[in-house]
Amino acid sequence: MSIRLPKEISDEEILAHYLFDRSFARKVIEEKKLINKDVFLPNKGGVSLQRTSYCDENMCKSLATRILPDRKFVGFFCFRKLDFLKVKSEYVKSRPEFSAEIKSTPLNENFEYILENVEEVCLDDLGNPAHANLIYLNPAIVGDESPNTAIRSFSRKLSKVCKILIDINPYPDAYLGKKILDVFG
Amino acid sequence: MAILPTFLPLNPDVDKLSILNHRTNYDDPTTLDEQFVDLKDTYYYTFHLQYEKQTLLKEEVLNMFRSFDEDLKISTDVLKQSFLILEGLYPSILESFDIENLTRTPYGTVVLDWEKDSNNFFSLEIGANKIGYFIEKDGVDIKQVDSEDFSTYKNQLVRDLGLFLD
Repeated sequence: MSIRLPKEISDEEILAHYLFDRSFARKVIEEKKLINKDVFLPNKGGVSLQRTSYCDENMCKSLATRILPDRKFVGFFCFRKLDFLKVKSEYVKSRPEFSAEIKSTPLNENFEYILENVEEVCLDDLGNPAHANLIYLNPAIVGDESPNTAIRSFSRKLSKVCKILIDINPYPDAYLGKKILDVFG
Repeated sequence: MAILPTFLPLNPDVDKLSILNHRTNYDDPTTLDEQFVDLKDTYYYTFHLQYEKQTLLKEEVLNMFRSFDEDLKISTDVLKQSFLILEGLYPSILESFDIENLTRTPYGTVVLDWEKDSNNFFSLEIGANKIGYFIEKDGVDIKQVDSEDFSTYKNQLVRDLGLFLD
């Protein structure tokens, strides 16, 4: 029997954001070279996350290499949803109108969003049922080549509570690095 | 106009150029004014320091513009604006900048970060037409500037950077 994924992401869930080589200064893959304030910047729309309770490291890596074959996958940047909420509640003290949320946004077999009011999503569905998005609501990201001060600052603050996991296997077959659950205990 | 040369030394830049261009005769100790020579050397080295760091940073930005890597490439407008800003910042501000902290965002803007430590941070973002920045002190933002014209906001930016680096 297939496991149904809850639409609501619990506060204890660990979310993983893919790290590609472009997130590192001069593409040198070292923790200190990570451009941490820019990790959670969306190119457009939301920042893609994986719900690790429903997608292990190998599955996450396999999805990353299939969806974005032209990018070099190097690992994950992980945080609990509860940490996101804490960072946000601190941040709104200096930027009261700031608003952002993390939503479950499962993808179908063509990696397109499944509409919210459609049928329930199960773990063995094709596509990416464990996909989620970090969405900046206010201020939203503005068009190309314009500063996004509030979002960059928030991204930096969120990155401080994240844990980095580097994959030492350069090939797309399996993830070889620290396990997410071991790191979060 | 006869009156003009009288006022020229009041302008510090004119004064600086005048001292830099003044020929010092080191062979004749009677005309050697130590204070004058010190000042001339200081101006000379400051000028070259500013020029070298500024050139280095401009080359880095130019490399981004010329890059074939889509993750690094910037547009002509961002390149122009970045040059304008690098030319407008004081040498001491550029000198304290670590070239590793010159980066590009996924949406094509250029970022310059001055980091004292993980909780004290100044991040300047250069867009095609606007600039934005935030100042983090002890982990909390004490200032955020969303989107301003560099030409009208230059003095405030320089003041904020100066205060941060002080």
